[in-house]
Amino acid sequence: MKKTEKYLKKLIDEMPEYYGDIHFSVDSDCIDPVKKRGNRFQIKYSFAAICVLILLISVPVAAKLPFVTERMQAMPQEEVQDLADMYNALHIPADLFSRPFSEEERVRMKSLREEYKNGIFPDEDILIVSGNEQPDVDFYYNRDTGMFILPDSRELTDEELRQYIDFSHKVDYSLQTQYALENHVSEEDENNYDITDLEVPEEHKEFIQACLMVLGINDSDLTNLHIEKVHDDANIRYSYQTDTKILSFSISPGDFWMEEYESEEMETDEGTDFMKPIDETQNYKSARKALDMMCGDEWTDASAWYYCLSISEGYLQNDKYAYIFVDDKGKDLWFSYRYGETYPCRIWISSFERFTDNLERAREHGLHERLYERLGVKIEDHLIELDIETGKILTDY
Amino acid sequence: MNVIKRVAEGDNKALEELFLLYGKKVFRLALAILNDRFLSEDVVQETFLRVQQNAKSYQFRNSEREWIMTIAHNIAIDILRKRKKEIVQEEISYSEIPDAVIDGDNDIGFLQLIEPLNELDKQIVSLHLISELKHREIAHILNMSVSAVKKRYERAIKRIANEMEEH
Repeated sequence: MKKTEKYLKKLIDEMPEYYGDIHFSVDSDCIDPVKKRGNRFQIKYSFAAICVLILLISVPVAAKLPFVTERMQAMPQEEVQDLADMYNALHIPADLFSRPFSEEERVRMKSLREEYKNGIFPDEDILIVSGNEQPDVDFYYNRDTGMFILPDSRELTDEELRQYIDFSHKVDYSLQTQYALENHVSEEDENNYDITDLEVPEEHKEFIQACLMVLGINDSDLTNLHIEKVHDDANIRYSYQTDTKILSFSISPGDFWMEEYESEEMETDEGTDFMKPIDETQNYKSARKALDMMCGDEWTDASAWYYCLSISEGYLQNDKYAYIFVDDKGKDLWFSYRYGETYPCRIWISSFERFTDNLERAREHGLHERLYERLGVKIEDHLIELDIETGKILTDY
Repeated sequence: MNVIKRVAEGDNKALEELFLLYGKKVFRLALAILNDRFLSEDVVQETFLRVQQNAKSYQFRNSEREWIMTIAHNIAIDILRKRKKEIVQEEISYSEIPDAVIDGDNDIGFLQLIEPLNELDKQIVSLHLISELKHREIAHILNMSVSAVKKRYERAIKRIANEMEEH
């Protein structure tokens, strides 16, 4: 490597020189850059250069992701609506993939995401098909099943990975736009203040502060509280922004939900870690501690469960799994983790009974079998009861 | 007195000193990113214009080299983005400039060797070898971890070495 570097440095010394110089005449209020050149094409080039300069200076102050924002806002409204409708019609918990991403693809995708932020976009959009269409290409998205079909016998190219990244951003943007339109988000609601200052139901404050305690976040670290009424006064979302994350608390009758996002992009479930084996106990202690912090002695006769989706025998379908604590009060506490992290990325209160009813219905209707027949992908629910004190496996559901 | 402080006080000579120290590196960094001599020269102009405008707000948290190269890098990336959207092409008419002047295509050596790299790796290699920035400084500019920068740099150099062997 040293030898290569030495050689490259030698080549750098042979790179073209800069033949112009700079001369800035400093006026108290303005700067007048004047190029001095010995080139007979000076006049034409200077004009072109000034055009570029003006263009650069006139670019407005960028938001955090100016290139991506610009691209999203340039989408036709019809496309935005179509993507939102398409996604809302799907009844699956996360994106599906016909095979895992390889290690190499995941590594490339990470750098391509960074390039995407800097405005390096795909040349074309991902192909979207409907129903039982079988296109001639081996990389596409099926809008009816919510599944990305990845080629079996080769790696995705950089262009294809860019298409996937771009599509994910477009779907997120479309859903957010539709949500904002439907719920008439009011600018008056955007304020920086502590939730304790607000006249909100006490149980909302308690849930939010309990979640913050579990995550080890101080109230003072939170800014930009944004409150939205979803449909009516009983359904509210509180969103906070920290330096690196967005914390979103959604409250509706019977459900309290907390989710955290990276503030610069909403990470989608791309299955980046789903070749990790299912491990029911890896964060059980963390979840149990979180339960104690949030509920103390209020829980009686509680049971503990582990839930995940698997795409092949013994492996996670995506990088998330959940611990569920069920008590006799009908408000059950869920903690969801990303594989490899030691704090919950989602905390919510929701009915376990309703959840298991839904699982039963999905089984009765053969949802997973249909996916298997159509696409050859075996997706299974794993719901396992654990000993609430030790986290050891008791039974499979 | 620190040269940037002198620039902030309106000392033109100080600005010229910075230009002599860093002008060539800024130009070559821009050339590595943009592969276009004329745009690279504009990067040089714009960089030192901004150095002069922003000298008062220089925080001394990073080295003056890192500060100047960050400005140059950001300008070059802006142009790269706009070039991809073909906005700049509407402003510059290369057809008016005789071929003899457009020798960007004739640049060989370093630019050719880094051409097969992706954009990010090109930037990392250029910032390290041309701008002579440390990996830590590059990580700061590109908003990456130091280990990610090091890894990418090593892989890029290996790739260049392989390409050299094959040819």
